[in-house]
Amino acid sequence: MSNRGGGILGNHHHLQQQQQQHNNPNNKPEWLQQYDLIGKIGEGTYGLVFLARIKPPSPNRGKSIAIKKFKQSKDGDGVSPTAIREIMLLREITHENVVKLVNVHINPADMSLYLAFDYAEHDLYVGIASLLFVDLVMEILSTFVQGSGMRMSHLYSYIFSSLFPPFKLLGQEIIRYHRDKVNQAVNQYTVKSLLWQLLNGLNYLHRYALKLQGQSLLLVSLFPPPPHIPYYHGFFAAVIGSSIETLSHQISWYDLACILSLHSMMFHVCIRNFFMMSTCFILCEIVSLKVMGEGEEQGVVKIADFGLARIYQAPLKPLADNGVVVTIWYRAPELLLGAKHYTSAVGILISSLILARLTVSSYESDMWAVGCIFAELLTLKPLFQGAEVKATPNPFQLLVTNTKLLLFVLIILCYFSVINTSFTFSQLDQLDKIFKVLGHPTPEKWSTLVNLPHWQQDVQHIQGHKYDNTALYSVVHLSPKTPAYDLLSKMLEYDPRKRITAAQALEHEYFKTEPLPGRNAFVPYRPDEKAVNYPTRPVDNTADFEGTASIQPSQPVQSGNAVSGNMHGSHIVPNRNMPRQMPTMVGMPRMQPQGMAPYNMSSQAGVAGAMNPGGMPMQRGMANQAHQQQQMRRKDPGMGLPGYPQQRSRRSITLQAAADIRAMGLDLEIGHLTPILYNVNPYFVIVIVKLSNSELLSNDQNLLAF
Amino acid sequence: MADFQTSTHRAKWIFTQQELIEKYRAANQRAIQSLEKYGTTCLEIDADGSFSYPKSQKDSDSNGDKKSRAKPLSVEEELVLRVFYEYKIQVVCGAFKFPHKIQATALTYYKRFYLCWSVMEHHPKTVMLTCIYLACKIEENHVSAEELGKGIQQDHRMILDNEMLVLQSLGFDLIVYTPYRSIEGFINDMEDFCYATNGQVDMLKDLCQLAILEADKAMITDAPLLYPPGQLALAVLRRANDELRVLDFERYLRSILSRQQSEHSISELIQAFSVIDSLIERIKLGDEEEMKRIAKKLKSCQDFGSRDDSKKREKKSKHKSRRGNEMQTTPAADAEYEQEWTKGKGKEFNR
Repeated sequence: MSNRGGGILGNHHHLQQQQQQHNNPNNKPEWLQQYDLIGKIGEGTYGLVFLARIKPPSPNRGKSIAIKKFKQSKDGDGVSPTAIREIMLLREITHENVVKLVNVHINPADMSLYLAFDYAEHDLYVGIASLLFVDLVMEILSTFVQGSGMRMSHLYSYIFSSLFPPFKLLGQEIIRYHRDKVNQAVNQYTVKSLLWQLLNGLNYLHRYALKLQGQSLLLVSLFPPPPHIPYYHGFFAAVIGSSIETLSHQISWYDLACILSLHSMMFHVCIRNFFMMSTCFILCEIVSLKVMGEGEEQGVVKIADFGLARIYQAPLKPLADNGVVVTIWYRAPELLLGAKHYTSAVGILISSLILARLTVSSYESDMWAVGCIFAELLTLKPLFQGAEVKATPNPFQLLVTNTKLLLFVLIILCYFSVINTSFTFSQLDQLDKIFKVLGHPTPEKWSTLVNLPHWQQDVQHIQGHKYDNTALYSVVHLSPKTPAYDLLSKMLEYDPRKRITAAQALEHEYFKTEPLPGRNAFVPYRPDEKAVNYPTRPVDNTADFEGTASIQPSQPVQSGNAVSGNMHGSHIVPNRNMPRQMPTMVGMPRMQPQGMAPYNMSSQAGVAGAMNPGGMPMQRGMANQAHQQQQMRRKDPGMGLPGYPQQRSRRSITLQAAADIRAMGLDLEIGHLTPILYNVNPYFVIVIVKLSNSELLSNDQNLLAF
Repeated sequence: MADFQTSTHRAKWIFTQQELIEKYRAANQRAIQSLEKYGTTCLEIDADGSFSYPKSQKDSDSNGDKKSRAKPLSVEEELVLRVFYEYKIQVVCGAFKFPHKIQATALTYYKRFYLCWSVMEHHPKTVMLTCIYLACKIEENHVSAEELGKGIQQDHRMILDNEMLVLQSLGFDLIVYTPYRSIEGFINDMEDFCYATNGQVDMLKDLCQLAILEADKAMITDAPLLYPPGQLALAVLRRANDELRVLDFERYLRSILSRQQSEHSISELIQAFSVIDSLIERIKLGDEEEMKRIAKKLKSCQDFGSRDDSKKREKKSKHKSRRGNEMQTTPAADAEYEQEWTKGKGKEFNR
């Protein structure tokens, strides 16, 4: 937070200034005056994201800043914990390759928080399915559920299973740009620099997460499943077990969805908390990489996390554009073969050791993905382009237009597919693509191979098929003797335990030979080369900091479909640099009758774009109605949804749960259990606790430091 | 959480004695100035955490009249008041059976808050409650403001009103490190040491408990603002060990220092420990008489400008006069604390 003058947090003078401006609500807040608002770049239920520039008096003038506005907390319980969590984590993380929180501002008029981030112009890889996205969809869907007798949990599990799996690394704008528009390879220097920075950031996060492993979450379910729902029985234990250990695996999102949908209330709150707390665990998965577009940091890769991925990306573009449906191209073979550390009994196995192992194994999968990206940067083609599952028929079309019955059937189906997590065609095809390039894995080369469930199950398909030997070098057009090839092949090592780690990769010879990697991946390495101009992010210039669209007759508010339909990655908004008149109403109380209507429109725009992955034109009336219902629901917090019993006597439940956990053989003092969240219905208690004991074990070094 | 070495706690919230003295004095001075200028020190706080000085009284006569009566608190008096409410944080958290972590986090927030404010500007009781509320939020033990308010029979709005202000004053540096976890870490570590030396492993549990009690005391001194939590933990372990004689502490210190390339020498550490010792021994809790006097003074500083607004305040003062309790606390639960307070004072702190 060092690169800004005045307005620094916690500064008394700042407070005084704020106080002054508070007395004159007609003026813009002092902090806002230091920015030129350019436009809105993202939107969701959590809030809005704007692009702004720092104004001249500051030494950083002209610097682009992404400002994320949190909406007010709905439940009237102060600042939303989500916002606080994000802030507190971001405040502690400073690393060149992690997106930087520049400042936190408070808008006195409506008590909302604004986080100012360094702005990253290009998305190199974007993880789509962040929590916030799910949250957003859920919010809309909850309006459909109202009164239908359906449980929210059904919807949730449905959404989870349909949206989470593909969220590894998607939407490669830069690569696509090179392939489709420039039609020339990315130069070596850029490749190397991007890769190096990617590894550098990943290495940092991996280390950070290792340090955090003691913060792991423990999910314990203590009561038998409800007897009247037969399909819970079979997979209950397995689900609990596997999600404990595979917290950081993609697969676990299925499991998690199951677990959490086993009980019926406050699910998304629960999930959100869960995610936020385990952010550091899953960073590597929901991480999106940003490449800085301009200024001093041009071409520097930033890892933007904490769900920001979506904030930057999703609402302005239909999801299908990003190839959302299912991409498993970057999935490591051990995951494809169903690697899970199965647990013998529920509950007892939870030790920091297991969690550590898991964490490590997910790092290895990350490195596989990095290898795939590396190859893709080299060739502009996905390395292992397996057949994608074309999500038949687009579930959201059904959601929006069809009857609830159909929906329910779909959800049930969905449950079963979740239960079985069977070896699908696409996984098989993906493995096929991998084997074709890398050759057939053998138990000699990969000792744990025989333990992988799908390897054992599917003997005739996987084991039976014979593949020729390695041809990786010919695919990526590299001579086997080059350092680049060596690094790549180490990343694509079959055995996860032999695979190179981020830290090791950074030390690899490849990065020590010319051209050396640089901070700016986009400058031409040799002066005679031309710098490539990458497309910039679409910006909705009609928004102001309040989230209301300004009312300017010459610039009509864009309707939802226009926004989501027209804005593609390569689309450059022509009036990007046009000076914009700042709204005069900022700082006023929120009720401006003429301001409200556009606000509804624009927020609906984001919503419609995001929840309509098939690019289906959405029925306006429907969405409108949904939105209104949503608004109504917000106004009346007392009116709970069906299946959302009020939470009561949290304290006693926690203690009860703590006692039960102890009874299960975990010798923990109640004082050691910091309940993160807990929930209860007649059948289940799910407790997520921080295991401070394991924290101690794993963190000794840190603890003893002084 | 995370890594202390790279934390904001280490980078921004560890001070020298001198810095602390200056900060306290500056806050005190500012409050005195505003008392002279506006006739009150109390700032009006809005829900968003912004605040304003009350308008100068139009009626200059009465103003001047009152000004002559209101006397600001001295830095020392502020300290007494602060410490009193620090102790109360421990009591309230204890009453709610919150884990130690929350109590310590709340205390840390509270201390940091009063580095930039005077107790005359923001009443420590409300700040105390907001700090507890925030600590619960941060440490993932969410308790709604309403619940918290109910538990101690206070208006929960005042907790929420201060939330932004506190957040802002803390600079949003919310992850704090407290000695309790370090104590446990060291106790774990000592196990090996004990096995190797004298085998008194069973005693470690007692040592841990006593050290935690000592840490409670250390937490209401300035020590958390002066030393990193690891050193605090060692200091209180040393105190506890002096009493219980479980292990040869200096040898243990040497053993950890030899294991990690620490930039500290053993003499530096010992010196830090003795400072912490003296801080703990110097804890001064004003007796009831003194507390009443200071609270009265505080009230006169704060009440001035705010006659014109806020029914809440009126109600409160009615409350007060009815009970004749100057601390602006409310009946049952609070009375209990007070009792405990007097009891605890004799028991724990006059050892």
